[in-house]
Amino acid sequence: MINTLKQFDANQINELMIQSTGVDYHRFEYEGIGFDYEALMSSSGYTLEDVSKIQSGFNVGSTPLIELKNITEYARKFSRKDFGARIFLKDEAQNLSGSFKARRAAMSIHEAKRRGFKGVIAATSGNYGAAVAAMAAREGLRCIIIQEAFDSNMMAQPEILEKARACEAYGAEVIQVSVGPELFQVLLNLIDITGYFNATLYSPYGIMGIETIGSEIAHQTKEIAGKYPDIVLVTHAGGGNLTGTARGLKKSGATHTQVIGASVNLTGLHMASDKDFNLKSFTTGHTGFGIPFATNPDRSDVPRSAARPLRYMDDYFLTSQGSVFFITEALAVLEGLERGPAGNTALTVAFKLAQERPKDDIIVVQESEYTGAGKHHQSQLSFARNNGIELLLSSSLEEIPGKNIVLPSSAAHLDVIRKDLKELRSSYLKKFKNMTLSKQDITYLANELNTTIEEISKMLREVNDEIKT
Amino acid sequence: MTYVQIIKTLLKADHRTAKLPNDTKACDFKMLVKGEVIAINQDSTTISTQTGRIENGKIYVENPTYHHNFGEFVPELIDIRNIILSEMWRQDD
Repeated sequence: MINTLKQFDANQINELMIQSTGVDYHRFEYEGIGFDYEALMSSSGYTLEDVSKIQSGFNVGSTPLIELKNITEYARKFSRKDFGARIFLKDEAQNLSGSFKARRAAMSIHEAKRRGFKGVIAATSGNYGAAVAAMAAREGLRCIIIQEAFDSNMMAQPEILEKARACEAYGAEVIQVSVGPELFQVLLNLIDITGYFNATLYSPYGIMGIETIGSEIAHQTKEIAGKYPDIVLVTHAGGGNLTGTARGLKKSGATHTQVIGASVNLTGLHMASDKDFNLKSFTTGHTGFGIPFATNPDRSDVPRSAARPLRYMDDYFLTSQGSVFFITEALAVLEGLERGPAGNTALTVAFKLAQERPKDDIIVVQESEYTGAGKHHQSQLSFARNNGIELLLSSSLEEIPGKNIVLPSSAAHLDVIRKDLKELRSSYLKKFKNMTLSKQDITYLANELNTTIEEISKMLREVNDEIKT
Repeated sequence: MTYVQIIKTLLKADHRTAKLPNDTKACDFKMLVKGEVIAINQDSTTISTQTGRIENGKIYVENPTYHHNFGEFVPELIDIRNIILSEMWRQDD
């Protein structure tokens, strides 16, 4: 029973992590600020082939890659002559439990079972909960899912209620808590009480599970189109989706494919605010996770996150809630695919980027997710209106998160915003302001931010100057 | 068998020490969980959850079910549906 929330210090947390994940994070720490990321990733001993085999044992993965010919044609109506890249969709909704998260869950559950745990636990309000619950059901493991679910008026997001229902349908215990970062304390307390496996999204298992998406995309695109994709677009939140996909692409030879992140712009809404909690229509795939998890990946529920998006992100675009709803509708009425909406964030950006790319280019959108009661865009729009959000038809750039949702009044009025990666890199570096860094630290930062040692030194000087003035 | 959802306060507002915006800081941190009633005490109910854990709290809902749905009719969705279909197929109509 949880009566009062016990507090744990850093050493106790590391101990709990060793017990509950089998990963001793201290082992990978360098002196100074860094750690050995590749050693952490390979510590499980699984190869890409092993991962693929484990997933297929769960009937997960090997999803179809669908060419969205009508969506492509629609985008071409707004492109210059000979422009309008071909858009493909990796239909991850066809995984058990309805999303790509099944791939991550399969690895965690496999590991939990192999290590002899009686149960698993995960803190998630998203599709990952249903994925963990479904995979745990197949292995006869007990399962607890903890959701940040309701505000002080006891009002829950319909999408989160649907995820809770799905988790319970697979036999899991669902614990729902009110808004706040104490969710992490609840997780630690329950790990301590139950001794269950911590199926965190941010362990090496959680990330290597996604590498197969990148690998399948590389092979499938080559087979269909005779070349690797020019762009793979990834809906970006906690960073695992982008990290895993990029690693899988590289491991499978698609080394020149650009990996581009896409998030829904929720700038202005505070993620820990009770008042703002139900003013948003997306519970994931948005900037409230996307930006902080890029600029500070170790803010997750493990000491060192295996999701490190700035190592792999080649570009980053923001879209709006209304634009994603528009594309969700287009996907249904033009392609006969009822999916999303949150999983269609990358597709929304793809629709715009395709217009600026030559006809022969290939853009792969690497996920879709199931939809239904609570998740459907009509549920979301209706919920938003009942919470005082104004619904408008106009230009997508007029959307103000928390005030209105603007549905584009034409596909011509669906726009995206490029987020400068340099800004994210500088923001990442701010926590090292005025610190004396060793050569090893600087090399680590260059790897973390996918840039050169010279560039890191220059950016650090700028960060330090900015602080002084 | 009586199946219920219980509510309990894990942290009173003035015991919340995490870095929080003021609106959240003013609220108690609560939790909901479902299970089978095993004892009714004077001011709380004891349940056994789906994983067999024992929890204690006030009954929030008896016989809990699901009420989330497809929301109310949103006419703007019909508007964008028609925009998409006409821009795609019926520009010459």
